[in-house]
Amino acid sequence: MTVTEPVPETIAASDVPLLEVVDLHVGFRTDAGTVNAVNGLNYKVDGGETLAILGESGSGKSVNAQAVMGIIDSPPGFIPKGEVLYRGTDLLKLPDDERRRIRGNEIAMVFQDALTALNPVFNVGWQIGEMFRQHKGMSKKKATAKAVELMDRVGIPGAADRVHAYPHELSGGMRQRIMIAMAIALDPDVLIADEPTTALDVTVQAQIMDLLAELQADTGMGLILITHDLGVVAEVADRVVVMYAGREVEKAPIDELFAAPRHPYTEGLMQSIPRPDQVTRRLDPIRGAPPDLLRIPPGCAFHPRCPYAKDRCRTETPALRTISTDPLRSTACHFAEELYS
Amino acid sequence: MIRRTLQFIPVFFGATFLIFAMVFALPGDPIRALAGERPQSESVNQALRAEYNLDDPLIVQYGKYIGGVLQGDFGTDFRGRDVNEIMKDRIPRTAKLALLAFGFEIVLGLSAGVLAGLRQKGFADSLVLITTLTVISIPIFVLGYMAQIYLGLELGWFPVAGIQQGWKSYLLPAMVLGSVSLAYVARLTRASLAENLRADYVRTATAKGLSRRRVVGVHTLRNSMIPVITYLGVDLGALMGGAIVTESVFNIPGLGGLVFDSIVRQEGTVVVGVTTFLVIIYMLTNLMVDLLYAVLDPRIRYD
Amino acid sequence: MTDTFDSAGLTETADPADAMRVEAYGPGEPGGLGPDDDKVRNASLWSDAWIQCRRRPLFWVCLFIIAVLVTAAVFPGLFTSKDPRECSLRNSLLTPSSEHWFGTDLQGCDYYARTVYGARVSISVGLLVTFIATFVAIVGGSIAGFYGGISDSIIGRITDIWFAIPTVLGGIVLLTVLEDRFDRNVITVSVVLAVFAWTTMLRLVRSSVLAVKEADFVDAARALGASNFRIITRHILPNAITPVIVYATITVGVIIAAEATFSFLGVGLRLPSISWGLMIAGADDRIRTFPHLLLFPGAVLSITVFAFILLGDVLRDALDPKLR
Repeated sequence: MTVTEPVPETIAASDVPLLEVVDLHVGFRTDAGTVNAVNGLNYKVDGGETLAILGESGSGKSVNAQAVMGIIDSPPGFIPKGEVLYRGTDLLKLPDDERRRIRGNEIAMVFQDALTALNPVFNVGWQIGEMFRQHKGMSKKKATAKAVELMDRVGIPGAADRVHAYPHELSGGMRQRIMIAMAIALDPDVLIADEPTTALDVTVQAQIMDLLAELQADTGMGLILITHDLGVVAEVADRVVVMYAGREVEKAPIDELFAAPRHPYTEGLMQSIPRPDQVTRRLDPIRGAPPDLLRIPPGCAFHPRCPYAKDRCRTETPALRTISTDPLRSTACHFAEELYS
Repeated sequence: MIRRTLQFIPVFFGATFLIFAMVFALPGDPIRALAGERPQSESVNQALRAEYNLDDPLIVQYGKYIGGVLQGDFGTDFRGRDVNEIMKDRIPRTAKLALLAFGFEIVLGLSAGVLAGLRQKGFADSLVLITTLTVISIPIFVLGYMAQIYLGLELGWFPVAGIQQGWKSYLLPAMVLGSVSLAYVARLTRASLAENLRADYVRTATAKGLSRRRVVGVHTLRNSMIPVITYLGVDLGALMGGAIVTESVFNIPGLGGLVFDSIVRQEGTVVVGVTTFLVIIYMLTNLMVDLLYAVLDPRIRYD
Repeated sequence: MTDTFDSAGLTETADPADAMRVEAYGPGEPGGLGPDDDKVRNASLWSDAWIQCRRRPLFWVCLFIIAVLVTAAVFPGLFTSKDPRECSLRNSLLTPSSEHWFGTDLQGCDYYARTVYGARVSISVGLLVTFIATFVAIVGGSIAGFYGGISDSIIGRITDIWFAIPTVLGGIVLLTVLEDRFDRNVITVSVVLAVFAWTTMLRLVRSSVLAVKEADFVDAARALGASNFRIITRHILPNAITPVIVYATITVGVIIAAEATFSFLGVGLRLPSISWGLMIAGADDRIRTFPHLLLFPGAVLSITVFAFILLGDVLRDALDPKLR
């Protein structure tokens, strides 16, 4: 259930997970106090697997990705606690230059808005080729040839002509393909895609997701998909981690999550999107707004917005726990059994 | 590109006409002013008026004058001397002063700006911010006098005034002339660098596994330099025009001094000649920067 | 920066960083705001800015200096009981003492009294020029930015032409030729300085108006049938004004320095006016032997300019949400 793609030997060879995040905390010091963006996050990804991290903006999902990549601005960001294990090695303890060699080589990232994420003053071929020049010491000419090859592979028509184009000269979908080409240039084992389709038109969104799935099938890399879009999750993810206020509130295989959410927040998310199988149902958005990360509510962070909240929820922070009825799933709700059985 | 160059033409005629009009159309009869208190015969007056087309409508006078300027002829003064000749000795002095100031501005301004931009909120940053603000706040003639007294007289590091000691004489005035621009360049570089360091593409470059040196030196600096180079280009022209005050404090016989003497002597044609020359230089550097801008930033296209 | 106005162009007197940052101030993201939301949001921008400013000691230092200067400009008698024009050659060129805090000048006038009375010229020229220039800039910039097309081109070209004349050079020429017809007083000097001071600010207003024009609340106001004049004055300007206010504050300082420079060069105010620039010019040859003649007016002048420029800086930091 968790692994749907055939996994090449090289990646899944050992028992150690490809990437594992253990009790990760990330904070930002600001004038107004410390913003607790991530407060104890745990997950694993193996080769060939797609893990979706789902949450609203401000849920800490993107900060988590930056912490894994090691690109958090520090100061003001800091990681007080936690481990990011890549093949068993804690990246957070590595010296800077070793960490840097992993970035782009082993773990790569695709960003949300390719227009701002690509450097406006260099052409796209130069930017893709830089991966080869800097990490592999390739000549400029060979690197450009490789860039054309990659652009071809991510489905850019007329790659040889477009290799000298600047980012602003390409369409949104093409730019995102360039970002992807750059990320997969060195065959990374883990690809983190942070809202890769949010800035794009709906039709283009599907093409980009297809491309990511196709590339994953070819290379067997682990894919971490960070999104707020349940539709995107439904299409490609194997497993889902739902985040709220920097904490994980529910973890489940994708089908089961959709079939039967086990946390009031997930349930609320499901009810706020239209579903073709429930034509008559009224859309029911979650009340209230996401919490201020400077002042996360005590107890269960979701309680001010939760329709089922009881006194216990206001005082006691629920831990993520396996539900007795289903060992594959876990939830951070005190009353999961009572609510969903 | 071509459109940009074409836009330059009306601005050129507009600006030179404004100067021409300011000097010649406004109150006062230049011929009478030339004579000063002395009486002057009517026939001499008539001859001079004809010589300088003073009886033509202003726009015709301007047309005849600017036709000459376009052929490199800045006219003659009321005493019959060639304005080109008068300017010839003085241009290199002002140019030397401006270029030297420009050098200070680039070397010190850029280094201070980069230093401050990379270590935001650090000691160097605060130091640069405060120093530059102080320098900007002290009017250039006050700064000039202070430099003269303390660096020139008390410490004796530099010649105090005049140009008797060759290029050395230009050092102190150039520093003073360049100081304000230097401060602007430092602040602009700092702000631009700081802003670009927060840009998304810098995060991408880091995520690509590039070294910090490369992220800053190649990805950030190139973008940050776009506004700075624009400013530098505009400023080169402005330094020539702004040298008036410095030249007067340090007693350097350049174009600024010439404008002054000519104003005092009511030599309208010399004032117009020098001012027009400086405006042309200023506009040409502006135009060059605009074109350079398009080269630096591929997003800009003047079509 | 791609179009007819080149907002990258800068005067030699203006802070380039401000002109460059026009876009940065931006009016925020035009979200799904109703026609009245812009006022609410605008109010919160100002109250946020106030909270930011209040916390910074520099803000209070600047305000204090400016308050003292304005008081000295209006009621110089509060600061000195001496008459700056009551001079006696017997007291010529005294160095600072308890009797004459700043010493005396060549004519034997009390230098402290003259410095105090000099504030009036500086403050009035600074404020008057900034007021005129801002007014011209707001009217011209709004028209150019809002209507675009031919009016934009015409205003753009006129701005380019004036921008091409360096301020010091143009000011010297204009002040000299005007001398025959008008008295050299605060008004004439101010008008001449204003003639050269509006260009950068107009470009600033224009690009700011252009940015705000696209916001949804402007469309909403238009859909509700508001007139163009009402849209500009009630909806666009309040949201486009922040960079102008910052720039205008800095301009006051820059103009005060410019007035002093012109007076120093002998093309600005003339004796018997009392101006810091004139005091320094009068000190000219004797500066080496009597440095107090330069230092006191020079320092007060610099502190004044400093206070206005720094206040502009503080305001910009507070009003620019991107810097938080």
